[in-house]
Amino acid sequence: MGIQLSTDQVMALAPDSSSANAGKKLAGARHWQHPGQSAEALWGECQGSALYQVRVDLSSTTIQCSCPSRKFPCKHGIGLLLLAVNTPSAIPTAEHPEWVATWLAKRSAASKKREKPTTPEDAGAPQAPARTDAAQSKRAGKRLTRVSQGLDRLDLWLNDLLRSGLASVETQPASFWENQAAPLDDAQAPAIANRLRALATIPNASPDWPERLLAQVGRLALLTHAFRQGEKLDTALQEDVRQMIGWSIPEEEVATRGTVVTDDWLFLGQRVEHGTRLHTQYTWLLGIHSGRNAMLLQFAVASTPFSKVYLLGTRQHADVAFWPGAYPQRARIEVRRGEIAPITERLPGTESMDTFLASIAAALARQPWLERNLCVLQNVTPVYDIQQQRWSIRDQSGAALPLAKGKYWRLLALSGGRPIDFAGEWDGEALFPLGVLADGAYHLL
Amino acid sequence: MDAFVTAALLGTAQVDTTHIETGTAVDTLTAKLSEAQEKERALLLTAGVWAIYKQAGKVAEQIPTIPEPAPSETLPPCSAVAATLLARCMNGEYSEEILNEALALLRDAGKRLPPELLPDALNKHSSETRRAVAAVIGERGRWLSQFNLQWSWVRATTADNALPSDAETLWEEGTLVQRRELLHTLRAIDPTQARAWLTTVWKQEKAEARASLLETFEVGLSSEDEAFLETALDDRSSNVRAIAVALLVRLPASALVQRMQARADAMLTYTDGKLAVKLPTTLDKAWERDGIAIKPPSGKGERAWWLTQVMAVVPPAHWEERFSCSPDDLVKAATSHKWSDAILEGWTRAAILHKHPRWATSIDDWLHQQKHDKGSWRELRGKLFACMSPKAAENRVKYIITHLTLSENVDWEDMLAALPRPWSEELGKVYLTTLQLHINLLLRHTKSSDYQPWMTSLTIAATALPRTCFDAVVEPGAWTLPETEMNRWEKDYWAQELQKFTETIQFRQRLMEEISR
Repeated sequence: MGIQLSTDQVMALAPDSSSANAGKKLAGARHWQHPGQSAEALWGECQGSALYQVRVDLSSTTIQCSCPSRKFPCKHGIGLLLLAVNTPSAIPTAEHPEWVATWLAKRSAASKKREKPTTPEDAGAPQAPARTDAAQSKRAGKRLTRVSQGLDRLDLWLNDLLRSGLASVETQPASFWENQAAPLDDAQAPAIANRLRALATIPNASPDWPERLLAQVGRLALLTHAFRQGEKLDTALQEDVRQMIGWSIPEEEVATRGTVVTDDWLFLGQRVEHGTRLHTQYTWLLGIHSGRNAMLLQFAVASTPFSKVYLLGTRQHADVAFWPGAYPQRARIEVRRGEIAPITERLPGTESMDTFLASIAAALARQPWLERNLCVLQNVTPVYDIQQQRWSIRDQSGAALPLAKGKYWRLLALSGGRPIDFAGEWDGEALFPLGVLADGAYHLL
Repeated sequence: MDAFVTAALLGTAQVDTTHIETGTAVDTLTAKLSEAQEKERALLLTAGVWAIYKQAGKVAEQIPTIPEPAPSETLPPCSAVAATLLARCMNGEYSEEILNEALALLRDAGKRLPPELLPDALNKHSSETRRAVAAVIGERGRWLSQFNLQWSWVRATTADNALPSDAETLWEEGTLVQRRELLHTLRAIDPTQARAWLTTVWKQEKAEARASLLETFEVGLSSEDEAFLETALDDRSSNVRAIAVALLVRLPASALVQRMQARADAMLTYTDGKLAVKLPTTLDKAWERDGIAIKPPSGKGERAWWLTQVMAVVPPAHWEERFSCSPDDLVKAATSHKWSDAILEGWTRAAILHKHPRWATSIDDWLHQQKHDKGSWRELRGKLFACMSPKAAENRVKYIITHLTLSENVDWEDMLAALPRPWSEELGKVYLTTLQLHINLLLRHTKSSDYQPWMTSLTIAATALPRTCFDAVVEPGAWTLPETEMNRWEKDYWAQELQKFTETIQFRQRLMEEISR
């Protein structure tokens, strides 16, 4: 196969452990009839209660199977990939059979199908009907009014909160916050509603909770303030404000309304945040030549899997479209070009902690509400303080930043006390490790 | 805490916030706020700006010195493919035995584990695996182990069974785990020195430590240890006393064994092919001191239990000499006695303890001739196998599996499991042929209980088959199941188990090829 995949990477694609185990059972050559591979695709037929056809588009690792399972990727897909990884000799190189060739042709044609949910607000919402221009502008006007009124109410409530003092929220139940968030949803400002909901977890969660809570409500106030500035703001910043309040841009329009960057992209790693109703997945990309960071977001409700699967620890030439904004960060993959290859070269990053922090300050100057950023550092050493049980990443000059709470033995083993290249997610206080390049190989953490 | 935070906590109703300043550039930005906005709003906006200002102004901390990096490696790493296979062993996908086999292969090939597998390797618990791991963790593994208390065992275990250079310090200051490892290693090199070390600290150690350290005496055990062990028989802790007994009984010339022999001679006489047993009515303290338990386990008679225990210590060769007859004669005589079970259990344990192959085969012959399966003896029978020569043991198993008809209900999997591994090529071939035969036979019958031993044996064979038999297993089409009207479910179950079996063998094969590449 063109890609050097590891068994771990394939198993990570499985939506749950029962699929993973079922997939393992199908990973023997005796289950597959007429398997084949080419530079573009991998395919095979598996006998279940019927003969199922599985095809894999290698440029994006998209798996399609004709079985009726609602799980994605299904056990047949996992099984075929495992077979390809563990016993490559079992799958001969061959010409595309007709059912694979037509599928590949359809995929590369320009038709864009309706995508799965891309914003937390859309997840679970029914499809919207088509709109006409006049109706559209009338609706837009109504929405603006509703949002404005909703934010006015929010500000009044925030003022009340500060008047009576933050200490009073310590004993409040979750409904205290929900009662303010729900009207914001009704006012068509769902993103800021979710921001408010997130505040419910702060009281009493840590010794410095008052400071954290104040910082967050302060940011909320700045957001409503920015909204009222309207046209006085830079156009790009207006886009950010609108998105943070709740106006979303459909995936199909991102390329036209935002910017598209073509580059060789490194898929550095992923982090999943588990919420009570929603799971958010952050996948981080770095453009080798442009130096741009791209943050791919996916959402999933409850136990459904994320719809797109990204192969991590790889590089690929691709067009990436960024949502418009003052510091473009959120992105999606528009077109994949070329083969997926493993990351083997040094990560393009800075050697100095101070340079990195300066770049964060510059980013915040452009978009003050940024919450997280990609951090790629060269020649840094992970350090473990045994006494205090604290983990840090340290550059050659001695400057260091802490790692998020956790145990990072693999990281320490891969470095052996020597400098390595590091990729992580920085949230303003700690680094969450995504992967490291050591001895010419990229390892996910 | 910030003046802001205090003000915010208490609320603007209580605190005058008009003069709170940050003393930074933020103040110029927020100067006009208090005039234009209500004080709550002004506080909020200022707090927001202040938070972002702090975030942007974040400064890295300084770590002036770091620990020495790991020394350069002396061994080459294994290939990337071997690394992925080893990772699968490490995460429990296959049994610990296969992991140990892989680690031994790695050691024999003169290679080391890749760094990303080191944490998993260091987290292993069994001492056998730990010794296998120590040989292949390389310099980085030893360096890594200093950071986690759970991995302190590495310091005391060296790859080539020599003492680490700071052995004495470690003996005095280390953890119990480390000291035990040290003593274990020292017993192999210089048992007298080890005994001297232990004697010096004996009185100050806690019971748990005394027991753990005394156990190491099983390495390099000799009659020179007798005096020390004899004193341990009077130890306060029952655990320590039990260990001392278990060690002393392995020295046939020791006073304890001599005492037992005397007691045994008083119990057992043999005339004209018949055994006579005379048992005491009570035991005195001396018997208990020598390790005889007065209270029997449930299901056994009290005096029968004493008989068994005493017989279990005396070397079987003693009886041959005393009564001038062969093991077979004695076993025969015992079977016709009313106390046969007690006597034979005792002799079996004695044969196992003193590793007497001739007695082991005689007793096993008797067990084999039993028409009913002695279920309670299953474990003992397995141990008997360990006493016989590997050839003798294998021959017995070969005989059983090739002569097994479906009506016999003998549980022979334990015997198979007790055979030394890896099996000889001959046994491997016989096993595979018989397996194929039985699959064909079993699937034509409807009795479902009979395939159970063969099913269990697959797991054993997967780890025990020697590499010379691998090709026969992995050949495509080697395990075709016959056409049958039998239970679809049973056929599927067999197909599934055979697939697992083949895959394990394939995995071992690939490991061997990749590691030696």
